[in-house]
Amino acid sequence: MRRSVHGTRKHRRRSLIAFGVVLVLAMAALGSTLAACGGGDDDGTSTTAADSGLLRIASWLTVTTWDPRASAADEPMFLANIYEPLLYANPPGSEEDFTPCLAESWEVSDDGMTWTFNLREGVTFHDGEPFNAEAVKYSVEATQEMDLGAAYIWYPVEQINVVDEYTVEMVCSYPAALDRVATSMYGAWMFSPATKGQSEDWWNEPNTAGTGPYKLVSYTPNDETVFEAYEDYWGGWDAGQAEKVVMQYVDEPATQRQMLEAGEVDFADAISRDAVPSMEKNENVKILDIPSVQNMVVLFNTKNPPLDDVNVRQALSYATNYEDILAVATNGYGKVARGPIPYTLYPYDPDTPQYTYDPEKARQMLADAGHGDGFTLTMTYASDDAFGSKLAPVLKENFADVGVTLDLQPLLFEQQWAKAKGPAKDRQDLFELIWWPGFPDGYDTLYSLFHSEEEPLWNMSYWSNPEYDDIIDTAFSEEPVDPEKAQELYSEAQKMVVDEALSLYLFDQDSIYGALPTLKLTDMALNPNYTSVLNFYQTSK
Amino acid sequence: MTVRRYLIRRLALMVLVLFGVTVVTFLLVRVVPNDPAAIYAGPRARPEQIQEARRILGLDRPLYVQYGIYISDLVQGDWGTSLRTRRPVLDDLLAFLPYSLQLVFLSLLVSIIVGVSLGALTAYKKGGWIDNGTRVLAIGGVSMPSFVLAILLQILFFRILGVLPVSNDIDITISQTHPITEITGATAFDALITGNFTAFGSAMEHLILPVLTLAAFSTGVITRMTRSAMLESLGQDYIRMAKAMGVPKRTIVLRYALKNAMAPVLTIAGLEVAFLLVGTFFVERIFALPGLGTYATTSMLSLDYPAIMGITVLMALFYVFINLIVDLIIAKLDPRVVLS
Repeated sequence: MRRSVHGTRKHRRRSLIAFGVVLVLAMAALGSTLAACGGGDDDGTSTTAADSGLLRIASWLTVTTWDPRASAADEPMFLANIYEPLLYANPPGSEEDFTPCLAESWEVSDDGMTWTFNLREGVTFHDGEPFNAEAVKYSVEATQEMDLGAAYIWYPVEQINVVDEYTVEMVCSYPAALDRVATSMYGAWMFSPATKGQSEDWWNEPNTAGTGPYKLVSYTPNDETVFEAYEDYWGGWDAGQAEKVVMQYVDEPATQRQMLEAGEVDFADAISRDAVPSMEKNENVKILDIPSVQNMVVLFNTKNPPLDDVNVRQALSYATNYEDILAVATNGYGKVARGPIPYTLYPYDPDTPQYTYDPEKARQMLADAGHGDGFTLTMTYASDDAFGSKLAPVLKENFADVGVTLDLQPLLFEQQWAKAKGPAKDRQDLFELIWWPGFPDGYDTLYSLFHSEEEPLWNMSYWSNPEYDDIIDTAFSEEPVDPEKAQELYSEAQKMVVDEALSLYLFDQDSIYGALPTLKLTDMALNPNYTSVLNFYQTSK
Repeated sequence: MTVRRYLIRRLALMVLVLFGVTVVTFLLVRVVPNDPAAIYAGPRARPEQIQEARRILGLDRPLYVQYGIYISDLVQGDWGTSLRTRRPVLDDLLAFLPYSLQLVFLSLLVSIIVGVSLGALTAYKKGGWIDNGTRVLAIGGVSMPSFVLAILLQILFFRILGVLPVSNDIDITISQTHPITEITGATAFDALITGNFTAFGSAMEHLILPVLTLAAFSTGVITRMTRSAMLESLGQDYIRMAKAMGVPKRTIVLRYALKNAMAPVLTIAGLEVAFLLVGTFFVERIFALPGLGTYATTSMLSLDYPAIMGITVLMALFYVFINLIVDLIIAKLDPRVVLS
């Protein structure tokens, strides 16, 4: 009896373990078999699906807000495919500065105060509302009223008049380059008047209401965003353009690379520069090296001794090996800077002076300034930024060469920034920063980095000079009136901040992307003026 | 003590644990130099806009008032709004948790089945080549960091053999040609219960490497734990007695020794659940999977404090509940254990 009971139990126990093992094997087998058959017939469908217009993107970008009035962070890639501005800024080196978008033509009064935009007819928003002068007035006023994010770009506009259905007039309180403002990837999107009264929470459900070529289908943060073509898009549709776009959140460059090389995505936007040489040997992928309007600066705290002495700042500018830093930080994908404005951006001036690497001279200048024995400085940088982390040790070595100890403090960017805006005694000596302007005009750079500020925001040099403020503000107002004079003033301002050595102007960087060779892109697809944006409509397969 | 009274006491203790966890996290996220209002207002905001954001977020009020508001909202189901996704934190957590639970469940299943089998086998064949080989594997599994193992597996199965995908929860094309009706958010599970077998196959295939990576540590621990617990029970007098009585060796191992060895193994397995959930932080990020781990790491890197708080509270709840369940099961398994 006992034996037989044991026998049964033993048998049961053994079958339990056997069952477990079989279950796992079965699951694995089922998984891979189904995937294999799935893959099999999907190799067929996947090509057709891909050919019939599925664009697959791996992207590190996330949405902070879907509200087109408030957007000022990493979401332009999402918004720029759903919304459109009045004008597009053309890539650097183009013959014309602008491409008409929702405005077909525009003119400015001689005093640079009144701008008239003639709007494209027959355009509708995704919700069916017509696009017209009222819609422009509504969009700009709603953005101004909310006064968040990049709303400041519209500060010059005092009044908006609807002249007729398709003509809108913007009156400024001072002369301003509204053509450049109207191209911005922040705060210049046109959205449907039917959204009037909706809160930011409503937008973030998310809801969208643009005129652009793509409509939002679904959005899961940190996962997947799906777009589909807007049938009634005013630009029309060609064969080869994507009917559907899936944007997959992948923020590891190594993972993006693998997905691209496996052909799982058509486009990847975070390709490590270290991976480029080996990827270039792989004929199944292509590397896109695109100039950008982003540049790397290291701002000196001009309030902290000994950096309050311009001779010390200049000496450190000579102690810096710009070529080495460019090579180490960007793997050579960029150019040594000439001043604070990248070569891709108006009003860059190729004659802006630049310091060259000369440690001998640096040592001499430091000795003359009474710092022959050296001193210690702290530098904060964003540890989550690949460039920043790579160049910091090079700079430390350069400074050590001339007897200056550089104490490196890696922080998360938000912390680095909070520290710089905090109490003066806690602030860093050097602040490393990748900068790009809010709208495609170097005025934004010159203003944000060096204009006097009551409370520090981006001017981490803490420098204040009313004469400089006046020069750049006048230059901005001269842009629509007397462009030559504007350029002259801007050149003067650039020379000024270089002579004052308010910052190390390190390099203008390129953007590196990866794509499958089958993906075709026009010049407007990866437009440097729209940082990190792939314009889906400008691609085809 | 009755089970009911025991439960009430444990739940009361849980409140204390949660209080401690929230206070510490609340203080920690504010001690680091950080300006949530600036994050909320966006990188191009002007000072007055940041001031306004500070008011909206209630950051201009004393810290204890902020904490009080947070706790009272928390118990009412309002876990705050993420600074980064601008969505209610609880919605975000519930959207991402199922995928991670699916990953944790499959990993636990693999580690228990493999770990207990190997542990029992090696105790039975102590000193043989199976024992030695398993020891090497188990120690390897325990000591290799998951991010290293993940990359090694990716190199082997993707780059060299080219047989398994390395990222994402499902093939993007299949997700469009055979769309999954979302029920829980756990891709494979949803595909299975809706009978979408093409998508299920793709989702399972995408789970193999993450599950192997995640299961490695706990498999090693459970193997070693089972082995030593088994050896201990095999050395007991009643086992010697059974041997003397001529009970077959297999019966002794599986029927007597294994059952008695299960209590410590189960305790460890319970703790492993919580460990696995934290393990998803690395694994999901490396394999680009849409779960809680990816959400957690992204929130931490952007100092999204309402989300960080939410994740911490959720994890604390998870730990407390798992511990409670394990204790109850052990009391059930071993009559000597008294709930107190």
